[in-house]
Amino acid sequence: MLPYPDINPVGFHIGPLPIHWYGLLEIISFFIGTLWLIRRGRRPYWGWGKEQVFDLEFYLAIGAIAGGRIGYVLWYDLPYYAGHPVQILKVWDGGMSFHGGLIGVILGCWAYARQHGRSTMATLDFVAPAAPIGLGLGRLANFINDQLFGRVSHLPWAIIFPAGGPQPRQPSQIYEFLLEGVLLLLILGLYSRKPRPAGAVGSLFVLGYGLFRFAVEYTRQPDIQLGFVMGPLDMGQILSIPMILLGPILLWWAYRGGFETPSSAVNAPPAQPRPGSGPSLRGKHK
Amino acid sequence: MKSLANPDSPQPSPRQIRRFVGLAIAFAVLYGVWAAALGFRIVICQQAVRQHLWFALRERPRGAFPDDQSALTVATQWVAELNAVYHTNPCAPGPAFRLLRSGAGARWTGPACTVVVGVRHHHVVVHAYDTQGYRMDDAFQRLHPPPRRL
Repeated sequence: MLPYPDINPVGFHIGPLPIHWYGLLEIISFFIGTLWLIRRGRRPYWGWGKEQVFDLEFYLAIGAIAGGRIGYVLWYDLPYYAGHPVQILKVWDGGMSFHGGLIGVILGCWAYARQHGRSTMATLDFVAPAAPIGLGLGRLANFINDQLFGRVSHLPWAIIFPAGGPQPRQPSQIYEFLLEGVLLLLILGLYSRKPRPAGAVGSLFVLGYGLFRFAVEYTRQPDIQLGFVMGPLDMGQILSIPMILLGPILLWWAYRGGFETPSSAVNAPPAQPRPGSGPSLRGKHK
Repeated sequence: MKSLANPDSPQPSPRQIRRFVGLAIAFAVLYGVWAAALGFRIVICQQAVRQHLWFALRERPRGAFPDDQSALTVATQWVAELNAVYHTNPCAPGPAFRLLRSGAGARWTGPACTVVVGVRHHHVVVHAYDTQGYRMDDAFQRLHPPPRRL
């Protein structure tokens, strides 16, 4: 059994303002993700300028927060929020759902693409490899915050989480960090190094995340207000099933060219790449 | 612009693309609605079991009895009292509290959504089984009584 590293959830103070590790890690992941997207965007076949990345991130942030919250309300605790609708707005009290956030991000990409004359799938392909950075650091933040821990276990690396009672538990946040963060980042990073058909990178993200989340949920303590929801499956697994089912179908569709539109061709290499050509290709397809 | 799609398979027509996207969105929406309905029902049921468990853990007859038989007599009477207080089980047929006569260590094979009272080492013990019939983590539930959410 390993001791819980009793890390103070407050990293440091700026004057009277406590800076929590949770928020700090989210900001760090946003910063790293932004830098990575800007770097990726410079490649000729992506054709994203710095300003465009910042614009897109605004849409993504709104989509992720709104979607994450609405998803949590709908899938994890609807009876409570139906009786206390004002609480829905209190995002700082906790309660976000990845699956809702994913739908929010897809809608955000769709809104951005529509407004800026890009392909939704190409936009999703562009941002998907950066998502594991935020997801992974978010799981580390869960670990530091003593929340979303695993089920009771007597494995040598089980940890007694203060909020989980006296029994040792699986450090499921660390498993999630390694799978949804590190491994998924590696897979998507390597896969997206070469140009792929429109929608392929996003589809691989859907499949990969769905598989990893489904597997890790077997070690995670289900939400206390829900418990298991269908036989041995908890809500995280129920919501990951469509990702596992749809992921391969979407990949197959992408390789058939089903997501290729004239504007998605920014995702494809130009016919005659010009050395050093970094600016957006967007204008070429207007 | 060069396509990266598999050149061996014909590219879908715009009508096929619309139909595919429509089907995918319809599937996601219907699945999401079903999951929300499932979650809604489960939260209500789980809340009832958690409430029953919390009450039972708080009111449990404490201390060691002279023998298992006398502990069982007390447990039997206590279960009747508990079922008088919570006279319906909102998520399973039958009473909310049941007596396990064969010992608390025995595997519960009765209905889900039930708080089971048994006897072990001359003590009255309490366990709860969630909406799917899985044994709930009593220590965790005691630490986070309803309506606490995580």
